[in-house]
Amino acid sequence: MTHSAWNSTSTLVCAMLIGGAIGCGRRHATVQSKPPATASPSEPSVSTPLVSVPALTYRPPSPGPNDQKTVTLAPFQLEAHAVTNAQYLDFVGAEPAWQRQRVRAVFADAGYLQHWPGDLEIATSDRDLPVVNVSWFSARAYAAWRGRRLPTQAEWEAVAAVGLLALDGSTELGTMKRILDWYSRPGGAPLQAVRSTPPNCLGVYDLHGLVWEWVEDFNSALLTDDSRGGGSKDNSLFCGSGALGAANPSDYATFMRQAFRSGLRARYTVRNLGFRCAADLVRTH
Amino acid sequence: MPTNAPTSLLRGAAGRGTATLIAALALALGSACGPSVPSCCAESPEGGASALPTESIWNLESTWQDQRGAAITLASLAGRPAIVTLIFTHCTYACPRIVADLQELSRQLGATRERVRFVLCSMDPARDTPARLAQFATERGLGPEFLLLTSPETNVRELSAALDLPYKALDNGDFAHSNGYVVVDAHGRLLTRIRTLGADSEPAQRAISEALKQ
Repeated sequence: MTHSAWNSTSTLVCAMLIGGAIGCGRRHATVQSKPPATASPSEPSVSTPLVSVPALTYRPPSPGPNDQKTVTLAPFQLEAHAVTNAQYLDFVGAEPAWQRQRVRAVFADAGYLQHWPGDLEIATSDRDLPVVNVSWFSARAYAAWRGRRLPTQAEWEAVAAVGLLALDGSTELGTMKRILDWYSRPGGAPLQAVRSTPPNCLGVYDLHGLVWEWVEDFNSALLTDDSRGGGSKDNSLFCGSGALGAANPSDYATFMRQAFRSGLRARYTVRNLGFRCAADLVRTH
Repeated sequence: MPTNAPTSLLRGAAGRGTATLIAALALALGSACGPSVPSCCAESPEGGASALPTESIWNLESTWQDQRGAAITLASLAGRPAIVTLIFTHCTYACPRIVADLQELSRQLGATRERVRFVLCSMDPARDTPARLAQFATERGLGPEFLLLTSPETNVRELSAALDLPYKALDNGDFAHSNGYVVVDAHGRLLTRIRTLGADSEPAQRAISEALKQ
């Protein structure tokens, strides 16, 4: 398998601007792939462009007593937008075990790809919509097929905290409000195409406002550093009690995502849960 | 993930978990499976992963190393009921108690323990080499019914998700993890789940006993 997308844009500019708090500029134009409107139904989809993510500082939302309060992540790459139905169709065409009628029950529940008209058929209007109704196993298999992986929760959250104008989005009150507005909207609204929300300053689209996304370690959201209490710490995570111990109580959206993830099982599929892939930085072909 | 395994009749037709379809197929295949295995075709002539029921945890296509250094595919673990959990041998609190609970369960099973497997999968592949697992088995006095396995992290994460036994690496090299274990039948289908340390093992014993009658 060959991959043409390792030539992702360098975003060192952002890293260099951290100290100056100037913001990192709107460089998203450099990571756009082909405009969706030009893609014909028969045209194979391409890998999503990867955006280089500098070494970001991540604040675990509910650190245990022995956890570090901040973690500096290694630089990595993240796909600029969520995987689309068209891209996922190519995957199940190449990997028949992941077609709807063939997928094994241990890997996906009965809702898997239920919005597709057929095993190898998607509505033309769905081509550029994020693929949903996919399980964690299937998302992982897609990523492996692309030579990529799922982002960790820390990686996803760190990029999700990047602002539209600066790497630290927490100072952008308008951004915070926009994020919370999406979570407060009732579910069931029609999905929009990928890249229909503004990119953050790294050029990553749709981390807020489109779909929920799988992460590699989704099932560790409720675990703390102490197994003696039975492995979870439910009473210290949710709502008021969780916010009391939180690193940043104002980021309520983070807690909503943690609560959502903790309710998932790896074979579950949800009609507004998709994914995007990540990649390590030091890969050359 | 490799997906070039041969597609069996059962897997190909029953993928979506339609209960009636599975049941109908099971009936249709009944003559091939023999009357002692009415609900599944795991003992069909082909054998191997392609004959596993679609919901079997042994469908995971990873390869592990046991405490003797032998390569073990998860599919090869079908054939006996199994008790499966995740541990790490450097664990000083919960894992020794989980292992002690399983040793007690094994003792309670008596002679039937030879017809089941206790599968302890490490969540710490960096430190839990086959040699380390062998040392742990010796130190804890684990009998031959105990299989200790290690595999790269990505495979551990997948098994953890399939078993719904989450874990998380901590900054100090240890792990936060759930304290339970699962019981699966000879085909790898989940029978019951024990969630806490020191829990009553009676549900596990009953599940194993039922599975051995299949």
